[in-house]
Amino acid sequence: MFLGKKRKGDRIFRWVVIGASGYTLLMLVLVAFSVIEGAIPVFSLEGLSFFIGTDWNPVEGRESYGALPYVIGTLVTAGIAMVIGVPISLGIAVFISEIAPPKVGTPVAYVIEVLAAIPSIIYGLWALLVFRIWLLDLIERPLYQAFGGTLPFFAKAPFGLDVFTAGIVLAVMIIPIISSISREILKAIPNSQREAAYSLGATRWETVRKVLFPYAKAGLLGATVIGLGRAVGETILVTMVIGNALGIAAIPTTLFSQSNTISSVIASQFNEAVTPFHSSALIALGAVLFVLTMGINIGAQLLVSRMVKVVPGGRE
Amino acid sequence: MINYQKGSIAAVTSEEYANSSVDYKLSSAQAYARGYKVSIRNLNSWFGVKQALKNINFDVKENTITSMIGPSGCGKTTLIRCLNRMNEMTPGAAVKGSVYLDDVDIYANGIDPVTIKRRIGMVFQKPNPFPTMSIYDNVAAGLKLNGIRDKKLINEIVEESLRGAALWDEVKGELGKPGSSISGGQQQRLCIARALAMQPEVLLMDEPTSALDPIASAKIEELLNDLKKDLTIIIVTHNMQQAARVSDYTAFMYLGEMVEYGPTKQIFENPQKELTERYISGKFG
Amino acid sequence: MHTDKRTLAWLVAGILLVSITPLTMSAKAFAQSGITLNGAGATFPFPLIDEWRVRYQDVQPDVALNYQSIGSGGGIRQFTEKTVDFGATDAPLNANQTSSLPGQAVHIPETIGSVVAAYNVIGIPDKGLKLTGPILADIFLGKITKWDDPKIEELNPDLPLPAQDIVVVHRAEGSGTTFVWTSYLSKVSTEWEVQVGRGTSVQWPTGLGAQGNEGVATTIRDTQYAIGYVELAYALTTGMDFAFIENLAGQFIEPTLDSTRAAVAASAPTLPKGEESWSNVSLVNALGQESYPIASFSYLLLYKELSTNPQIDSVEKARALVDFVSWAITDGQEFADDLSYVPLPEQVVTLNQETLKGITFNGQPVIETTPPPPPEGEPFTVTTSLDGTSYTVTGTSTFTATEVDIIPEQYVRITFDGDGEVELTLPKAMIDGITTVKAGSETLDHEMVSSSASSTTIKFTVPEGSSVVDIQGAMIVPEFEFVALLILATAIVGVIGFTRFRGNAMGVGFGKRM
Repeated sequence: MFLGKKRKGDRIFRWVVIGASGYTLLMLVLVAFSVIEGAIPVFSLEGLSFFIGTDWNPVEGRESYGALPYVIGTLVTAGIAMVIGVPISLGIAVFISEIAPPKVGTPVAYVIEVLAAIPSIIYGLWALLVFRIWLLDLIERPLYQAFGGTLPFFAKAPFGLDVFTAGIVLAVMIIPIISSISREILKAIPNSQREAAYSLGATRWETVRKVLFPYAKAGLLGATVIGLGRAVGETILVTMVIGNALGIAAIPTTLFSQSNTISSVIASQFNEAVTPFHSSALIALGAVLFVLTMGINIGAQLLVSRMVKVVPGGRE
Repeated sequence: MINYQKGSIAAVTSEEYANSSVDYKLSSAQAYARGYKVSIRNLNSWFGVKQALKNINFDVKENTITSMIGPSGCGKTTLIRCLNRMNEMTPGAAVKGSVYLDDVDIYANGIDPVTIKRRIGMVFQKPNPFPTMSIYDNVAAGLKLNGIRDKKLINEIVEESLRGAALWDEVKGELGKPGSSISGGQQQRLCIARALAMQPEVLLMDEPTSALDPIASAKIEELLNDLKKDLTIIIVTHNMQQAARVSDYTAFMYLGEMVEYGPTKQIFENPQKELTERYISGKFG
Repeated sequence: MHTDKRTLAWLVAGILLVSITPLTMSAKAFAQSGITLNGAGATFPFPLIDEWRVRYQDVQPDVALNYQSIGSGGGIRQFTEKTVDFGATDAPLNANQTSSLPGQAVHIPETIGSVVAAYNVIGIPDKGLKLTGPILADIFLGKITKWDDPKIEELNPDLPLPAQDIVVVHRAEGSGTTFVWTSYLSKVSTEWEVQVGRGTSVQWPTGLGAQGNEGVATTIRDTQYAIGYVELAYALTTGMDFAFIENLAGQFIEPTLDSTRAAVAASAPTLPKGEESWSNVSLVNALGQESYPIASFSYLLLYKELSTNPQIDSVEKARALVDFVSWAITDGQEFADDLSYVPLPEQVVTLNQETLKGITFNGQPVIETTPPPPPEGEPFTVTTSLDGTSYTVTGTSTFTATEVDIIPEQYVRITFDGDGEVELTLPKAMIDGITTVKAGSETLDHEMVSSSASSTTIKFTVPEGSSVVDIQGAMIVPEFEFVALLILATAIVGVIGFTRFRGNAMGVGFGKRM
């Protein structure tokens, strides 16, 4: 009796679990299906040149759509965010978990957690109303005045609404996320590793760089990829500060160029996309973003799995 | 049956140590002159408000093995971690007093704890090789940290250290394998090799065999006897038989105080304090 | 642990209570009103439509309005998909959109928008700058790039135009404002027409994109030497600097409600009928000395045959919808001025009324052509006073009312000296949102005859043998929102107080944790 009952419960559990996993698969199939279906009209118009096209003309009768500028805009802003955000995030994580005494580290960690929970629109508003003006006055203009004439990177009069601002604000947004995850990962490293390093006469910095980072690199890479995913997919914040150029004008030629990201174009244009081609082009952009994020995730997983081969760690 | 190892004879008679924990007779300079490698004077340690070590005084003779025994929580691990300033890495820990390495107080102002650790090596309770490094790199880690770039020299020291830790024959064909891929006992010997590569003067071992099986433990014990030719070894153990087997001197600690310290034979056969006698005979602990 | 759970339970209960309160509020609202009219579309008229939503409650308490400002494109889409009762758009339907509709639609201009060229240039005062259409087109094409360009200087010889780059600001998202702006630029510049064209979103040759009127306004405010376009209402309420624009008659016109209205009035004779195609209707560059050249209608969309949309499932609902729209284009226009909208000129109202007459439900015209006959009899007046204010009720019937009593927060009691049909006009200050008319315990059928901003006229029959009628309304009882707010506030205070009292077990509020 008892055994039979237990088995029945097991069977139900099994089906519930199978159903739950089937749900994710079903959702994936449904999303893929509707995205592909929705994207058909624009491919009938543009063909595969949609991917490399630089035009974005929604005016009826002249319609022409190309995804390239927004792919570039997405990668550039996310890249700037990562270049700035990752070192700072790791620095914060190391400070909290390795250097700061608990009296300092705990409140700082708490504040970081709070920052990580702030919705991105808040960062967007702050960036639009306050931060971009600081950035313009304190960084962009001085850079432009110093290098505008010599370095092509800076050769455009800045307004504070450009890929540079978008990248930095994205960095500000992802720093709490990456640093709080990284802190957890560093915290999970057994103390014996630190002691081993210190006992060999390693300084704090050497311990962090030569022992802790290598030990935790898979986890830290994971944290970074989560940050990258957020940066690539972030919509509203980017829309508010990137300058929202369209078409060929959206390919950033300098750090101070206006641009647009895939998700930002979708967000700003979908409501008023009245022609079938226009909405289809936006759906196709969604598909591109889908592929892009999937590519990033797969790439990151390959990287992690290659790293993990060197880290059996099972015996620790 | 307890099998005593014959150690070198200390230049100080056991009587001098008999009641030594509060009032120590020799100055650190006298101790150094008489061939003591490590001299501990008036050492106190706290964790927060809790005092973990109470006025510890003793000397360790060069090229000997000294065991610290005592029940759990008696402060023996804290004491050994004070000897290379590892203790101060623990949040909330505080230390007062002096530890002389030769004639230098490692707690004096201006002494860099990093250089101290390069002279006083340490092996921990659980084997802790760096899992992301190969066996070779584990041993070479300390050398590289100290700025040695000479490949040939590193190769030599790695081999010498692995031989010193009696691991060479077992791993010489697979030096490129990760440090965590070998057995627990091998890992612990790898950690000893890693410490030896620094060519330390003193080696501190904190219950180095507690996580190992008896065969692996026996190998490490065997190794210690060879190592003391070049090193002064201080070992914490919860295993009294091990203390009796490997050490020349034994210190018995209880509740943060050093109750008795003397030649191992005397501590085990003729302890001066009743508390020591009761602990040795297994009446508590 | 135990207190933790208790606190949690209380907290959850509190949150539930708080979250249910608005539900009960809307349930109450729903119970009051038999019919809800759903609309969706343009964001531009939203403040006005929302004002109508509130005001129409006074006129027709039984009809609730629900308008989602999701953008013109979304409005057209939802209207085409028949998920809303009416759509709203800033751009008229084009040929493609018209052909994908399930039935014939009518355009009902419900308000007028105009777009101004706002700028931020140090030294140029508000409204100091004069610009022409071709210059604006060249600026937005990126051909004129400096503020001291000779073309601008020629028009503004007295202004200290700086030798600075012009920063062009446009809308990032598709919008009706952009449609009006690009329609104007297309009309005045062939080059713009050829290179860019008009639409709710276009491929901008240059400039910064910002979200919404607010985004454009903020960007202009924070960016020196910027120029952009925002809706007049927005520019007026936020006090931005904006330019005089040359109209077709060669006058430089300040954008105001009046100059916009003038443009509409000048264009009115050329407007098509509601059911005809409006795709070429444009108010930009209108004739007339006083006309501001960048203006446009905002439209409501209805199906000519309302039953095309299954959402409109009864003649009552069809009538409620048409009644609302006809109120919005007449009485509803009163509220436009205060919100900086341009009220519809008479000609357009007449045109709309003609359009509404043509709307049918299952083939039958929705608007009854013959108004209900007024009751026979003589007019009468009775007066009462309460707390020093006097209220006057007028009426028409074969008998008269002798007395009016206000029972505060409950009802208004009127005593007659006869029975039969009566029409009463009651001041809104006394009673508003009339719900029920009772004679003793009997509820009488009453008909809403008309409603203005200050009074309501109803019609009912005093039953034989009764002389006392009680009229209940929404306003004389305490407003429900007030009660709900009170409950909500009590709940929040209670929850916070409880968790505080419980020793901060949930970590609600900071303090002891750290």
